Amino acid sequence: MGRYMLSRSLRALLTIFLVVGFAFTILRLSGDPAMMILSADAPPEAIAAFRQSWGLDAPLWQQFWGYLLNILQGNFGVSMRDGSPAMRLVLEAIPATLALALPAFALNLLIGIPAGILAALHRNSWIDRLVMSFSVAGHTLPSFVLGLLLVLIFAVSFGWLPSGGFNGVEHAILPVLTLTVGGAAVLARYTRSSMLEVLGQPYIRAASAKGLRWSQVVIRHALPNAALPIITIAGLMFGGLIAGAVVVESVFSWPGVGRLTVSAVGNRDLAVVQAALLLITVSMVATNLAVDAIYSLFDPRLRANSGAHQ
Amino acid sequence: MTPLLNVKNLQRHFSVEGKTAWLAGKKLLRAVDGVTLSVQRGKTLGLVGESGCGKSTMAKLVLGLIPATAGTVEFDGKSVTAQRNQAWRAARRHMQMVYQDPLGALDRRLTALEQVIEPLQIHDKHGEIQPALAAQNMMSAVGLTDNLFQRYPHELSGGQRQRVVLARALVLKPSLLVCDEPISALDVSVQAQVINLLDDLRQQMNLTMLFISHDLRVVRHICDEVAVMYLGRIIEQGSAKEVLTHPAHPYTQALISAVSTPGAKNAAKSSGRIILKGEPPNPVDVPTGCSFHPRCALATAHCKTSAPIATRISESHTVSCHLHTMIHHGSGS
Repeated sequence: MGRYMLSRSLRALLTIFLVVGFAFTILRLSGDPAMMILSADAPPEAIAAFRQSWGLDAPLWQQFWGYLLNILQGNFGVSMRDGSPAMRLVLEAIPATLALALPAFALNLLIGIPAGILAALHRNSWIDRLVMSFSVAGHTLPSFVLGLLLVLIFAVSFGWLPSGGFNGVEHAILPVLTLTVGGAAVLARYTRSSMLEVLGQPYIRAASAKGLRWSQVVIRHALPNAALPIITIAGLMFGGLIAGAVVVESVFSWPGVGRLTVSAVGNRDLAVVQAALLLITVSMVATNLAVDAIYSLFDPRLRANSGAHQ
Repeated sequence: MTPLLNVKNLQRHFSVEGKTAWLAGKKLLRAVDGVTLSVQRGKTLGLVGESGCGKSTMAKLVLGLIPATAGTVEFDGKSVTAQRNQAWRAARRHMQMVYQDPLGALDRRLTALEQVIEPLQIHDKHGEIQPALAAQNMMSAVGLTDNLFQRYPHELSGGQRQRVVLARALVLKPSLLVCDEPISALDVSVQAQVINLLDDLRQQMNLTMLFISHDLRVVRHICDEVAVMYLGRIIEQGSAKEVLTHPAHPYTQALISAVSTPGAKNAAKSSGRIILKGEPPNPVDVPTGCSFHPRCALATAHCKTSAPIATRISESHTVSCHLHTMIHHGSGS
């Protein structure tokens, strides 16, 4: 278990390094912040001065090396727009992101998993067909379409809910709903197929041939064995939600990490994009580590070297 | 004496979709097509046949794990039907099963000991027996050593896994044990161990067994009676000694001649080996008349049109074959 987690952690660090490196390089190759911020017809001297003051005139590897040294000292740079520390801008956006991510994730689990289980247990019945129809619909509808549709219905037509902004619980309802529909649909599908696979296994028949009540067969044998793929998907989903639902935050002008990242990329506000990406990567990697740890709770085969050959 | 297990005209049909399902409609697969057999208390009946002949379906039907299309199964005088109720579950402690694939039959998240304890927890809710102790005793009885008790299925060898499955089945002290090809997934080197173990336990615990296998040597070793199955029907049935030494049905003769056993006695036999032509027919399109006639070297025109009925040819031997008298006398001479 210890060695397993250690090797996972080292791999996680490598992942973070690679993401930071790619982001750094690509951002600098794909556009010139001086042009974006000062406008294209600024005098050449101003542009040169801007580049010099942000260190953009140095070779790329020197910039990257300096950036890494700064990160290790906890210095994530400042926004080119208003000079405020980049990491502070990102951290300020996190509560708003969590305000959407946590309820959406909880609803995903609470709706998606039971729906998938129900569909699997009543395979090919009307329950299964109903759940799967909703699932396919929720799965295929892009979130910006669904988000706009919900705005059209609940904000524009009925005027029950605000169409956007960040100002209390009622503002969160539509974005959370949008995130839930897609997420629960995906989870329901994976839960169903994972359950169906497990339910076809001989040990399930064996459990019921032992005289175990069917509900107990499902709870004690089927669900724990079907859990692994579900945990994987749920973990990815959680990481994605923490990273900020870019599209949904933009549609509902929700001031979270996702929207901040989009606008910072548009502005070539390098330090902010890098700080946001670093945070997103770390949260994704941390979620994956947590998933790996949860795995080994469910599957004894992953508790490698745990006294197998004493 | 009333038999412990009594099966009458048991049928199980599955509807299968043909290649052009929506044009041709659904077809009927007769996995088990009118089987009648009985097993006396303490005896072992071997059910043999090629793969796909309906043996495993029989196992599930006998235990009431799947519903029958027609016919009855009686266990200890009471009818066994597939249902989800208290009575059905309570009856499980008297009838248990050993599976073909021991790894698949074990929940990979539970240790060997937990697997064996579980049936006790299900059926002995008042705690009259100490489950852990009873489970450990049973595991020792099937030849598992203490150091294996806490292992997970993936940490055990094939033979050890099958011993866990066996301990799990026997820990409730059932009267009927259905073994569905219990050794076919095991290495040859451990097959004999498991068979000898089964044989010992059967005598110690006075088990009644339905032993499903395609291995005639094993059946000869362990069974009192033999039923030979072909395409969902029993074509020959009788005491193991009679059926295996004086097979009456051409199919049984072919099966027996295919068994390679070392020793001088069989050297002569192997020269007379009967090779069956082709695969067993598709059970969806069962041949008319005697279902074995397309592969039978002795088939006549009569065999193609009319199905034979079971005929008693000795005290403990019945066969379904139009030629049975001729063959029987022929092989006897």
